[in-house]
Amino acid sequence: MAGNRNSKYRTAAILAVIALGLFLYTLYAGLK
Amino acid sequence: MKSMWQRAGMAGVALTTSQMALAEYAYNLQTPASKVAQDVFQLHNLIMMVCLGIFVVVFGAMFYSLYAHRKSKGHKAAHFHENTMVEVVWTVIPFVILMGMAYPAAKVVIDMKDTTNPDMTVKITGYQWKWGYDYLNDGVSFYSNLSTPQEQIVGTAAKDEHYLLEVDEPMVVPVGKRVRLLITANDVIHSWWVPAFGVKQDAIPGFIRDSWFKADKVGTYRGQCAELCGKEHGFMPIVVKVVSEEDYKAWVAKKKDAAQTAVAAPAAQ
Amino acid sequence: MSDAAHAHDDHGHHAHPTGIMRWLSTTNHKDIGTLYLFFALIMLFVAGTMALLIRAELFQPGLQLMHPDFFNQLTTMHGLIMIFGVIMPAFSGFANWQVPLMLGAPDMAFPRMNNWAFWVLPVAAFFLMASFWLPGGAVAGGWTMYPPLFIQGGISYDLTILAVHIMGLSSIMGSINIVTTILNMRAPGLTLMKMPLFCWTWLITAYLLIATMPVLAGAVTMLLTDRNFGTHFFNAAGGGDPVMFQHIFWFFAHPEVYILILPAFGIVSQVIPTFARKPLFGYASMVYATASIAILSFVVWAHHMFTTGMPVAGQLFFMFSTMLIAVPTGVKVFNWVATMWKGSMTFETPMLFAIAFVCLFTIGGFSGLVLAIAPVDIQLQDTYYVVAHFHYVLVSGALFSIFAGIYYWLPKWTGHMYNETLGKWHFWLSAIGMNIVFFPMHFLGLAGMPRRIPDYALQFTEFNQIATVGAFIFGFSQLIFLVIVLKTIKGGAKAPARVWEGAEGLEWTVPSPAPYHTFEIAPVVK
Repeated sequence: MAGNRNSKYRTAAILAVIALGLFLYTLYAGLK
Repeated sequence: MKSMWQRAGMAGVALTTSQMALAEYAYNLQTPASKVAQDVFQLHNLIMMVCLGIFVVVFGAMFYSLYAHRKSKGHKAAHFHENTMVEVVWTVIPFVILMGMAYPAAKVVIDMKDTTNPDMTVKITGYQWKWGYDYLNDGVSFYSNLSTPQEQIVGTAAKDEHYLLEVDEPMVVPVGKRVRLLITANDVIHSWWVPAFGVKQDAIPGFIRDSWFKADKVGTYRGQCAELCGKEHGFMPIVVKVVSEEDYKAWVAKKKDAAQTAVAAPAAQ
Repeated sequence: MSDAAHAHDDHGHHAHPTGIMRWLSTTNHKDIGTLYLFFALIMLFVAGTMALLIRAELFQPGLQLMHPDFFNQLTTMHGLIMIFGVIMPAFSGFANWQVPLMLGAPDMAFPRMNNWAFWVLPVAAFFLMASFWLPGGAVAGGWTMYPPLFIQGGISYDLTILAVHIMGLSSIMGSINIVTTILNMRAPGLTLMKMPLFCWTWLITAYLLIATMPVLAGAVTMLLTDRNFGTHFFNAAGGGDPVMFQHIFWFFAHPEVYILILPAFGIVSQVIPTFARKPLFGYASMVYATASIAILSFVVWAHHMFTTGMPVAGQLFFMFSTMLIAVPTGVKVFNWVATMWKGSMTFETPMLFAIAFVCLFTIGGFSGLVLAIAPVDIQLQDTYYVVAHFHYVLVSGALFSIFAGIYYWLPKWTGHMYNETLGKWHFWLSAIGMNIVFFPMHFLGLAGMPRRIPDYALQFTEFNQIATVGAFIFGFSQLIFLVIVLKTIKGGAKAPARVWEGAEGLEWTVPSPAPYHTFEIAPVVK
């Protein structure tokens, strides 16, 4: 499970970055 | 188990018969008064037929299965659990059916959006909570307010026939003429809708959207605001009186006369 | 999460907190699942009461009970609470209980974040409910929050925006947890294509949530700044565009409606094979169909905007893409019927709700297809036809699948069988009641009754009266459900590990009730 522990934080980080990026992009798109 | 089905069946029958025994019910779109509304009416009938057909086939099979493939009837479960050919078939057939529906629908979309070659143009403005009409060709302007009295709404007076669908100043247009509509709003989004003509167009503050209708028959047609616009959203109806060409000209003349003799701006809210 | 060996040693050495602290601090997926489900149940009665008040006012033409403004508050809050406070938390509750059990995992990937994802929800619910007592009353601009109307409202509109942000964060945290658990913590041998369909539908739902909730957050942030900080995203006078809000909002909200139904598809795909004693027909097709629906859901949003004044090309594109979504949805319905076909069926309460789902959800699907046809939508947009459509897919769709899932898994969770007779009463009253409320609404919309109005013209009276009677039947029947749930938790016939004869899956290999910690050592799946 130790190997999975590292990859699970990576999975979560990628998803969180996607979420944050979409939020910021939405605001940016609204500003245009 | 059997008694459950019986009970449900009896409830269903009772419901239907009691409904049919009561007053008149409207089950379909309003009677069309324009070609567009007629086209939409027929398009809707077509889709309903298709949906009904699919429903009967699919749920006929399902209800048959619920009856015949019951454990209590002794039916033993088969073991099949996939079949690629069948999946392809019941993907392709619905797709083809949809294409069949898409073609007539697209034609009506294009027709509804074609606002060229109008005979006259009326600018319509949505307000909280009334409509304003500006006849650009004839120089007539007025507001149109709900005319149902408060007493009828709160229940201290009996409601009349056109409760909530009557106004002090209706929009008047000549029959058989292509009327272009320039629709906007003064404050929030409203929506101008007359079901008998098949017209609904959102009224967006700061923007002008166009639409059109051509009324087939003389008569009075009623609609309502179709976008939530605040507390009186349900209380800003639309009334369009379709009259003969002569009656229309007479009405325009009367309106212009009244405007000239009026001291201030057109009737305020 | 921790090494299997350590967990084995630690267990029993540290005391679990009890009482309120247990529930506040729990990181156990079963506890958190229970919390979500109870929260959803409470919110169901809150929003359901609002619905009954609405239907009471609409029993007759005229204003009898309330001012139009309060009516608008009720309709808005009913929608917001049912979507964000009932359906989504209920499905999250199922995900928490079932996903680790179905995958042979000891818990979710991030148990503490799991706790936070739940506990922010009651805070958001408190903000929403409290707003009724603020100056100006609660939000009244529709759950769709269109500006400029939404810019006009009082302080409760800002509080609602905050609540929406909080609920969005909850969903995003929950979804990250679910995706990570499914991708990283399956038992050895459990490939993705061997996973129960319920896990597939939640995996795809979680991706949809991560993709769309941030967009909603952006949209409501822009509402907030337009309201308070002098921006004019949606104000034409300042160079903005109210319709842009609609584009952004529906880009979120259309996938959102699939978020509201995909887990339902998953539950029903577990229940039907069990009671047909036959494997789910076309497992791979079901996975692909679900994925297709999810992908297509991103390119149909403007079918909510056919009356805004789009160019012809836009109307045509969105009409065609929306019609296309009917194809994979139809495939799923056919597969469920094929699962039943030549099975050996029994009709316990979960199966009754699942069968009603297949039939009634499809009716909702048909009315959706009617609405997809743009020229017809021009007549039906913002009428009771739309109200009929989404209540068929959300009540006899999502809510009935939730009922099916509760009856199906409650014996596993509590160790007790529910009362089957009471369950059947709940089913029949709900199924018949639901149709009495919502079927007439198709006719009301066709006849020309707009939505979101507290009073109506006389020709709409009869169908409104029928709908109101049905609403009270349906509403009060849910008290039976409450009684069943509470009774089953307290006691009942002892449930075996494999509660249902035809049930397959890892959750049926653990005892009933499921022990507090399960699969601390991963099972090997062949």
